[in-house]
Amino acid sequence: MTGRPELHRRCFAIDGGEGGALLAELERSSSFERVYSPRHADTLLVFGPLSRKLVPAARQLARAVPRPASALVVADASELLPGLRPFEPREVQFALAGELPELNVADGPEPEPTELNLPDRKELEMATEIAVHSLGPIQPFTDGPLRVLLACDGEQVLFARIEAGFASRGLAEAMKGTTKEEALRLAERIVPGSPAAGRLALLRELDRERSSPEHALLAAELATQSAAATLRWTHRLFSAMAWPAREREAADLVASADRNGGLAESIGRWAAKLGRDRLLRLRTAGVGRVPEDLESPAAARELIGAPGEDVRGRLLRRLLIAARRLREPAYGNAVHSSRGPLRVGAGVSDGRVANVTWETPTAATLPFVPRLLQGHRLADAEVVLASLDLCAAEADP
Amino acid sequence: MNPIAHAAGAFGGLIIAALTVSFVNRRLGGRSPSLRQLASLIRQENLTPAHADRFLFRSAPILALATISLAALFIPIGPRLIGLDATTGLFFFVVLLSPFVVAMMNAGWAGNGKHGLFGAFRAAAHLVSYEVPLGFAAIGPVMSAQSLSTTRIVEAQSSLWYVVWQPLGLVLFVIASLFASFRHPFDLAQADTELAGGVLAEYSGRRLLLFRLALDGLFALLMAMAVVLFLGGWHGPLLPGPVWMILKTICLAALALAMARRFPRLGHDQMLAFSWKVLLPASLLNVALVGVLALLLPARLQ
Repeated sequence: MTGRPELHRRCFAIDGGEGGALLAELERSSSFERVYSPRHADTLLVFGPLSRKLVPAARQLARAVPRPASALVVADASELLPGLRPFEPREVQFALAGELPELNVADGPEPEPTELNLPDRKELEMATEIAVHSLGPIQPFTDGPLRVLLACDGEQVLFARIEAGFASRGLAEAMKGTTKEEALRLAERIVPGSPAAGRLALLRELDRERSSPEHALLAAELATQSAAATLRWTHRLFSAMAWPAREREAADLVASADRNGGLAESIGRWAAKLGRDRLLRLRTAGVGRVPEDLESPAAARELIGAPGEDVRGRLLRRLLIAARRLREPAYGNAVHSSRGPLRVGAGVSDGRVANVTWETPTAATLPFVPRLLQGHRLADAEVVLASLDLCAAEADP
Repeated sequence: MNPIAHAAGAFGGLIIAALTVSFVNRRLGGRSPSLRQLASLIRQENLTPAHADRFLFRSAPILALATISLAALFIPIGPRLIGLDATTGLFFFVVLLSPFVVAMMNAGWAGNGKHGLFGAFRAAAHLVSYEVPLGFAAIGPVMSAQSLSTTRIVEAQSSLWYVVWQPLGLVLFVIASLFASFRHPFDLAQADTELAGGVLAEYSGRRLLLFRLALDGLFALLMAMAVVLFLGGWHGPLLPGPVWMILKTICLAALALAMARRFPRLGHDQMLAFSWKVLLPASLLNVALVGVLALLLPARLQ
C-alpha cells in the first residue's frame, strides 16, 4: 500500500475477523480518527467477511451511527447495512488495496443466545444490583469479534463469560475436497494477518519432507509476519491502557516491520526499555496475574504464561520471543504463529485434501479467559483481556 | 458595561480557547478530533437514545457550557479586561466547577446506557478527590496576595511571579486541573476504548460537539487560572497584556498535555489513592511552605 489516505473521518470499525492488519495500517494515517462509540462516528468501516452470527450485531451498530454516515466496506457486505451511502470511489480504492475476501456472509452455526445466570440477590453479601457489562462482539480489546460478558458489582468483575463463534468463516468446510494448491491458499487465512503460518503448517503436514527451500522461505516470512502481529498486539494493549506515548512507539515499530532491517534489535531495545519502565510496573502491578493452580495446556502457554505472570511479564516475554524468532526463523520443529504453536492435520485421498483440522493457541486459551478476568476491576479486566492477544478468527474456523 | 456583552465575550473567548486546546492536543499527537471533524458534527443527526431522560439528556451539554462560561467571567485577560471583577472571584471560580460534574452525571445517567452510567458514577466519585487538592493548591497565591480577587492576585505578582517560590503549587494545580477537566491520564469518566466514551457514549452531532467544547473549554479555563495564580497573568515585557496572558496559557496547556501523554490512564483505585495519598499531603505541605516563606521573604519580593 502506498501513500496515506486523507480520510478526515471519524470511523467506527467492525472487524469480521480478518481486518486487524488493515485497520492497523489505517490507524497510522493522521487524518483517520478511530472512535469507540458508534454514536461518535460518521463512517462505518466494515472488514468482511461477516459471519452469520455477527450480522445482527453489525446491523445494530449501523443503525446506531448518526446520519448522514458512510460505510467503507472491504469485502462485499454492503447490502447488509441498509441506509448508508457508499464511499466515493477515490476512497474505496484505498480499502480495496488490501486482499478482498471472496466470501460474503460465511456459513457458520446458527446463532445461539448466550444466557448469563446471575446469582440470586439474597446470595450476595451486600445485596447490590449486579450490572452485566457486555463487551462486544465488536470491541477493541481482541483481534476480531468476541463477546465478553462481565458481571460487575460496581467496578469489580464478579465473574465473566465468553461467547465465541462470531468470526466463523467456514474455512474447514471450504477446504474439503480441494486440490493441494487451493487448500494451501485457503490455509493462508487460518491465522489472519500472518498468511505464512497456515500455509507452512499445512505444507509441513502434506509434504512430510521438511527441508525444502520453500519451507525455509516461508519460515522466514512467518517470523517477520509474527513480529508485526506481536507489535500490533502491543499497540492494542497500550491503547487499552490508554497510554499515548507507548501507543506511538508501538505504531512506529509496526510501520518499520515491513522494512525488516534490524527489527529484532529494535524490538529487543524496546523490550529492555519497557522492562525498566517504572510506570508500567506501577500500572500493571498484580494485574492479570495467572493463578498458581491454573493448569493451562501447552498450546495456551505462550498467550497466558506461567503461573504468577502478570500483564507486564506477558508483554516483555512475548516481545523477546518475537525478537528471537526473527533471529532464528527455523527455531524448533513446530510451526509457531505469533501467538504460539499452530498444529494442522490433513488427510489426502486421490490428490484431494480430505479433512483439515487445526488447533490454535487462541482456541486453547479461550476457556481460561473468564478465570483470568474474575475479581479484577473493570478497567483492569479490559487490560487483561487485551494482554491475552486473542484472535477470534483463529478460534472460530 | 453591558452584562450581556460580558457574558457574550466570556462565551466567545471560551469557545476559541476550547478549539485551541483541541488543536494543540492534536498537534501533539493526542486523540482529539480535527477542526474539520468537529465541524462535520454540526450537520450530523442529533440522536436522543430510546427511553432516555430527554430533558436531562438535552440540557446536560448546555448546562456544562453555561457553567464554564460563568466561570470564564472571573479570568482577567488584561489589566481591566475581566468579565466580573469580584472580590471573591477565585472562590466563585472553584465553586462553579461543581455544577460541571452535575452536567456530566446528568449526561451519563440520562442516556439510558450502561457505559454512560459507569462514566457518571466515576465522575461523581472523583469530585471530592480533586476539588480538595485544587483548592489547597490555589490557597498559596491567595495567602501571598491576601486576596481572593483574581485581578489583585495578578497585580501582586508584578515584581515576582509566584511560580518562583511556589513551584510545587503550580505543579499540583496543573495535575488537579487535568483531574478536574477529565483529561487524559484521569479521563475515566469519558474513557474511549474502555467505556466507549463513558459519559459521552450516547451523544452525537451538535450535542457531542457542545460537550467536547465544554470539556476542552474547562481545561483551557483551568490553565488560564493557573497562569493567573502562578505565572503572573498578563505581566510581561514588550507585548500587550492580553497577548501575554494567551501565550502563557497556550504554552502551559501544551506542556501539560505533552506531559500527560507520557502516562497511562490510571485505574479507578489508583486515581483515588494518588489523590488522597499524594496530591492532598503535597498540597498541605505547599500551604505550610508558603506560610513560612511569606513570613521570611522580604515584602518587596512578594
